[in-house]
Amino acid sequence: MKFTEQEKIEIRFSGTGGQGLVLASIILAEALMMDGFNIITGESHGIEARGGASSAEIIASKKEIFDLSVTLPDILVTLSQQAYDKYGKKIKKDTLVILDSSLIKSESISDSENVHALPLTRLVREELGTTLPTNICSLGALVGISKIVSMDSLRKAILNRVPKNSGSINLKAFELGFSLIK
Amino acid sequence: MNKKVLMQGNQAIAEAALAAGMKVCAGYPITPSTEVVELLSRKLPAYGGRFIQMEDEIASIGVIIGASAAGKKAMTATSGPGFSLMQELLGYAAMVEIPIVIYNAQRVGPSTGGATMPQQGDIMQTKWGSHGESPRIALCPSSVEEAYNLTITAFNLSEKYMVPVVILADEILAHIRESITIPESDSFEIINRRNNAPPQEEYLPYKVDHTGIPILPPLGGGYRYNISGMIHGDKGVPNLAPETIDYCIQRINSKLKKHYNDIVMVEKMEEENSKIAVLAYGSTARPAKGAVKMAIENGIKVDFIRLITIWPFPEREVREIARRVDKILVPEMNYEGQVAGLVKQSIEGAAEVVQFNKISGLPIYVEEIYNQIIKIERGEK
Amino acid sequence: MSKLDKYLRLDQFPHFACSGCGHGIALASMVRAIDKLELDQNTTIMVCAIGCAGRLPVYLNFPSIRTAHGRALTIATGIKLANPKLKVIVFMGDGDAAAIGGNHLIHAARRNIDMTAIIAINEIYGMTGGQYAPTTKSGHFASTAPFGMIEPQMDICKLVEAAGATFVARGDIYHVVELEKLMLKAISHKGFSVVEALTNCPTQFGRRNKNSRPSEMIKNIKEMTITKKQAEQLSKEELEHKLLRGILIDKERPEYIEEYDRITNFQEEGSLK
Repeated sequence: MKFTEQEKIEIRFSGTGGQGLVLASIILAEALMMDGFNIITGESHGIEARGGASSAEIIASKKEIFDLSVTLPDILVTLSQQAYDKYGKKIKKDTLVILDSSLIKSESISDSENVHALPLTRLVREELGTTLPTNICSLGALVGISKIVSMDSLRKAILNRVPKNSGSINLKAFELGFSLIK
Repeated sequence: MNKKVLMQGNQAIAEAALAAGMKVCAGYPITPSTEVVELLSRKLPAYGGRFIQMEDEIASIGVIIGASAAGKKAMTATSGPGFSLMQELLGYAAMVEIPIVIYNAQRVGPSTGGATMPQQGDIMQTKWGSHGESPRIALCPSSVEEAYNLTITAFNLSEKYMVPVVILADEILAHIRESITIPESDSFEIINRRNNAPPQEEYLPYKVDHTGIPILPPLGGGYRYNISGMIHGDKGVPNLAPETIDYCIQRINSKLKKHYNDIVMVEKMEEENSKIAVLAYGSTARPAKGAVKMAIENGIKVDFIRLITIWPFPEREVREIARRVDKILVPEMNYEGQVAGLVKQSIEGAAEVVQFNKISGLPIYVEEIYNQIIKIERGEK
Repeated sequence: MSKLDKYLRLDQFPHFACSGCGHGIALASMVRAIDKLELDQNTTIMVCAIGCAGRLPVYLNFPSIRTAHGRALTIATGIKLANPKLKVIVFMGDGDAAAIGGNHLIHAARRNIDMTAIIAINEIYGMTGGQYAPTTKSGHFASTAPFGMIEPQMDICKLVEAAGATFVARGDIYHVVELEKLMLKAISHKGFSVVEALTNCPTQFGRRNKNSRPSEMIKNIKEMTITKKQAEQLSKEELEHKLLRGILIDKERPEYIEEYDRITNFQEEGSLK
């Protein structure tokens, strides 16, 4: 599927509270905005923010946006088993799925060319010595596969939104994610 | 530079309040409006304003009434349970004609309901939640950008008409982020309450001119008048003479009617010879508009009307639509159809009102409204 | 014409209070204190709410705001946040201040915003016809305590002391010179100050408690209160039914708005807009 030709793209990030999914969604949204898209983002709040499956979503469109939340996403990023169990089935036939194979059991992953199982958390820990920027790493993979947003805008958006002293490690995480797709 | 920024609804409300010149904010933590007070607690001091977290919502609205009586623009932010607690002093503010702005991010009710989910259940409460009859203005934004602009309008209307204004949004709008354009500060009008009171010897606080709006100088600003929630005549002191009761209640309730055209705002899209109209407000108006566009693309003629002002109720505009079409579809995130009822009351049978009520805590989707339009078109509804 | 007439809205008289009501004595003490302090009549704001005491400031010639029952302190807080230079005096009854407004009283004392709360205590809801108040003594009768008051009496001075009030005093309408001095000190105090003024309600309280002669009631109040010095001479048993009179708390603590402005680097005009 060629996302670059779509005038509207719906994206869902899902995982566990604390993985920085809302931040990842805001960064991607801001980058898409820089590239000329109208944006709506939303997130699930409340009890879910304390460790259950949580989600953050983006609708990006070249036209006026009428929907207020994502129904079936074009792109799904999943970073936990619980989130995958909850959101993994709520997709279209051709939804691009990026999931963290270091946290999601392989037997639960459906076999499809649209599913990209990547050991994000493990790689980030090994390469950067912390799992904190796994969210940004997933953005690298997402951009690498989908090409929905320019690398420039995304780098800018990362630096806009992450704490000043963690800019470089987040950029590294982003490149790491991007390098997985080639 | 009119640059696009990604902003959350609650953030837009707070930023716009600062741009409108709001100087005192008081609040009590409540989901889903809390980001407003968090942001204002950080930013207000640099804008020459003060924030305070009070012991409850009753105290919060009390603080902003006091601050406004002392001449500063003031606001509070809340949601259902807190809005219920505020009803007492909301009626007081309307009665004594002290301008305040209340932001209510509607959540699922009744009672504690659901804090993180949207509803459009406070339409009637906004107008009728206090005892007796008193005026207020309520505005329903349906995008983050409009939340920004309407917050400035809310302060302007409040100051101009000396009346409480409620920004009636919902959990969706409170929490979504959108790419919006912030207007330049010199591109919008800021209205401050009148301060051209006659000298103290001739001054009567509630004696009004042709506008029907009293001039109330700030407490401590050189005038020694009394503000009282008891029935009062021009002097502002308690007076329970039958003619004063009649005058007082007539005056406060009729002043907004007098300025209807300046206060009531709607957005309309009309098709030639359409038989169906969709009437919506708040965040529900987004999918409603999308559904109308989809219908038109598929060859079904549908009018669209979005109520931006919900109180005073835009009965003239609604009547006009009713004269054009046979059926009016009113999608709402509530059980009774609070606005559908107002529509029926306004149009007196001139068209049939078809309700679509969703109360699951989920937003209404474009397709759901589109399906309703199709059903009406086919005569199934 | 009295020299205090300028403080009255004379066109509002005659007033509504019953004959023999002690509230006027408390109100007059406050007015004399204001006069001695030479406070500016335009920038001294009277805040009040509902009830007999709550209606009285309407007779005073100051900027005045009469709010909903119990909410006077919240409105006063807003006035101070908008303009800390204003002198704000809140005049309340016991039901107004300690029952329906009790939570606001606690938190106002805790915050320590520079204003004065004067609370007229007469053990009864007079305006609504003699119902019991949090300050009604156990065993006393009220229209809603026809078998006698079961609940213990609330000590408002102790409550606000515990909450952090920086000035707390109790006076009564018999010791009227002292009451005026207490009010003067309270109004001059920097921070949240409370004066409890014991008064009498012959119409609603006295009538139900076999003592509706105002002079008798005032004499009872006189005998009920003692100074700290007198208290030192009495045994525990003798102290049981006595209330301490005079300044009970007088201490310094940072005033809320000064502290707010300091830590937030508050700019009056606002550097940004």
